[in-house]
Amino acid sequence: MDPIKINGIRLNKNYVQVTQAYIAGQDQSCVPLYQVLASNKINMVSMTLGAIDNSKVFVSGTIASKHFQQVSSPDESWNYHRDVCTISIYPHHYRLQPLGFFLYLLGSQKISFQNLIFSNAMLTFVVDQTDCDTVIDILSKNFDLPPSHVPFEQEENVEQTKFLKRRYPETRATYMEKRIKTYGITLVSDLNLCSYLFSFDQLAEYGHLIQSMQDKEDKFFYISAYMATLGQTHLFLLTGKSISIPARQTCTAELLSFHGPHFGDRHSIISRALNCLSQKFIPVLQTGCTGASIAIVLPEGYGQEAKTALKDVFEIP
Amino acid sequence: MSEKQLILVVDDDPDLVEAVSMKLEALEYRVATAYDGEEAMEKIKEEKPVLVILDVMMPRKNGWEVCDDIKNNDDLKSIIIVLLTAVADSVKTTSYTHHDGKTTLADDYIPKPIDLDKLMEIVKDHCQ
Repeated sequence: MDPIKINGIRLNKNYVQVTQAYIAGQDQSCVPLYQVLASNKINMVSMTLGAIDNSKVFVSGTIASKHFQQVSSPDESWNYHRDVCTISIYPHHYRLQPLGFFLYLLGSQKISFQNLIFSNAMLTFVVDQTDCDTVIDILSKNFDLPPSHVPFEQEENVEQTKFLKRRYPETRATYMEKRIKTYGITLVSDLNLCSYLFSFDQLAEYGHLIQSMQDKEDKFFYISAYMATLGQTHLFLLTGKSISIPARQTCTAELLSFHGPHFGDRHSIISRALNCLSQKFIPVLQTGCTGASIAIVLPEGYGQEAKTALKDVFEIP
Repeated sequence: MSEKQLILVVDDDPDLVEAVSMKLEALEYRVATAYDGEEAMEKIKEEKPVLVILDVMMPRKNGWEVCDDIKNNDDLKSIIIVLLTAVADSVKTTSYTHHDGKTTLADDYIPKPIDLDKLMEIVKDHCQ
């Protein structure tokens, strides 16, 4: 089989992965991670939220180490995993093949990950910083990169960034609009959300299975995964057709997705989106945001209502 | 049937590159991509696009430098350049002076955050 073509790999270091689990509607004292960070004006570069078994909510967010130190009162329900990095491949074009292959590579090399999230272009894994050189080496050897590809780790021009932040705050999108600009909100219905739970030892096997579905399934609409305690991997996959890998749970679902400038650089955006839906009693099955993208998976029948509700918070051209 | 025109999209944000590329492909353009200025120059020399959508703030080589390299090269200077700039308020015309005093000649620009539909209109106007 020919190597899978991608345009680039991106590495970003010095993050903390914070996770939180609570029972929806019961743990009144437990404030969701994204709300605490929003009130501290701290951004997460990526976040996933999943409702498991209908009541348990699991939130996992990636925060720059320097910003995490500024959290005034970390909640005791949080678990931290320090010194992690994000490694992304792009573009994925919503193909199952690179997704499955990435999972297979990590599993076969016994490299665990904290979180998997996607954006419009990127598939991003959060891994221990001690594993980053190994993962980069594996990816660059096994994916087909163009000879002209850009460096995996980008150097920030500190002087230029300082100048821009001082003179043009919008260039790093640190501002907050009354209604947040988007490139439009897309609603897709008639989808299937499959939930998988398997041991870390089975990661390569599941990766291989997902990769082999490329011929049968056209694409994925949503993907997220995280490692829970005891080496258990939770994986959530949203596709257009029911897929052939037996799942722990399946349900029909709808997807709201939207892209906007530098969502990944700005605090409070996911918090405002989820608070808006919560106030309208619209249930959320899964949420993922990173880069310039937010994806919200809803139970079937809630999509249009949610899209209408989000218009209060987001500007849709 | 006429050959599709090639547009090069250059930005260090892969999500923006993807969003712009999808719009262009829907309008029947061929699309090449680059993620910083140095990669952009390689693709420009190799593929000779009709138009380059060029971010300004990028690692290694910024958009102003790429613009200079193109417009000062007799083989490349006919390539149309549309700058994506977050500092649009400093752009008096498409020939403008940026903060370190250089003057750069681009063909058009659009401020960030970009309006994708407006960008497509600009591309269509220049590619007629």
